Amino acid sequence: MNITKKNNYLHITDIDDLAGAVSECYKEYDNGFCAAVFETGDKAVSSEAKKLLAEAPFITAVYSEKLSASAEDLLAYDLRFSSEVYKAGKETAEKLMSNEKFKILFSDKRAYELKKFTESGEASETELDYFSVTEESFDEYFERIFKDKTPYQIMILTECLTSLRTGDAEIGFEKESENFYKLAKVITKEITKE
Amino acid sequence: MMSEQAFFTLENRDNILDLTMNAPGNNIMTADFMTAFVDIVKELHKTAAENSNIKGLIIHGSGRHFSVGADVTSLMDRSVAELAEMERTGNLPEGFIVQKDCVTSFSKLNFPVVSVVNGFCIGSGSEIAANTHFRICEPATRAGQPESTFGILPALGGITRSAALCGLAEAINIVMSGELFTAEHAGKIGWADILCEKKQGYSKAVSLIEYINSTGTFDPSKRAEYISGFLASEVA
Repeated sequence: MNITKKNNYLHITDIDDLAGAVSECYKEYDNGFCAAVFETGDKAVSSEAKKLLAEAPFITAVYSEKLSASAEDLLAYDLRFSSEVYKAGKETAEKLMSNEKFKILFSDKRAYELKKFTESGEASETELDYFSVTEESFDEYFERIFKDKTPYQIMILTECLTSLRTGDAEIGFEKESENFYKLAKVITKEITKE
Repeated sequence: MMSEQAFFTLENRDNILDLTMNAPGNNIMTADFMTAFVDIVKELHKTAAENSNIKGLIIHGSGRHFSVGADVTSLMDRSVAELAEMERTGNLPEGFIVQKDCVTSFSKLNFPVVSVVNGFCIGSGSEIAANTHFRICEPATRAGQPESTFGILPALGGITRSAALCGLAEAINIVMSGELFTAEHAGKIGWADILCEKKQGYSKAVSLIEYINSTGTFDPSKRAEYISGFLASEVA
């Protein structure tokens, strides 16, 4: 396994054991890394790895030139990066549309669109251009979204975002409220110093 | 006219409520704005409770913009006082809880709530729109949650609602980057339910509410179905 440390995120390659790799990233979170991109190829994601990914305090992402792993395994990550737009046939679309994780990651609206696709007699395959980030590399993506933010701010925002993995809005609302004041404390201290 | 606060009017037009934001500075959300907002939302809920014939609610800005969001200076001044309150009580500030409850209450109403968005709809302004059931965007829309670029975060439901409307994967981008997006992009990511021509948003909202009411009792979980059905009915 090879972990490359970048600005606020990790890039992990040569992975033999995904669960082990995710566990290593847990340790790095204490050093201010708020996202991890795993290059796993099309290896299956074990139950243990899924659990670790679901509970990770950092944003989780998978990169593959072409996302050939099973749809269910790809949904174990918060983000997917690839060079090609993900395509789903009717069978995959049926699995995705009733998958709760799919709805959380992409919304009820997308699930409904897939339902309509499965019921239509038209194309046998559909492109899901929202399924993965293809317009920019993960390096470009994280550089862009983390730009001009302090490590503390990135961590606080990440906490809010990862709290939404279960889809529970009340947890999300609570975390936003709590964390707003953590950042407000920092900002108001800076303003007072000026 | 049912009610007129300093920066808002609430009217009943054939049982479709019209909540118009009419504050100076393109509905900049100052402390006074928020005080009036809390009052008008209480008025709204009272009306909804007393009149079972209400078919829907439309929220919009009276001028060229929905809302430019919070006045960051007054927000920070308020935060200093609120942090002191938190130190004393160990709880979230009461004023903040009341405001958040008001903003997040729109999606809990039992009739469709539609935001008609034009111009800037950013920060806390965007949170008002995001907390409604539907968003109809006119071409000049520029929406988003730029709070992260000011060192803070959207605390009135903006993170949670971005995830509910666009999915968690897209919410990471919206919230972390703080970038504004156009009407077209809003439609692409699912933030906007309907895109329309300039000055057509309000009439579209009325039509959407009438359509939803024609299908029976409003069920917010059928949001996507309503939009799909409404758009199909327009083509037919």
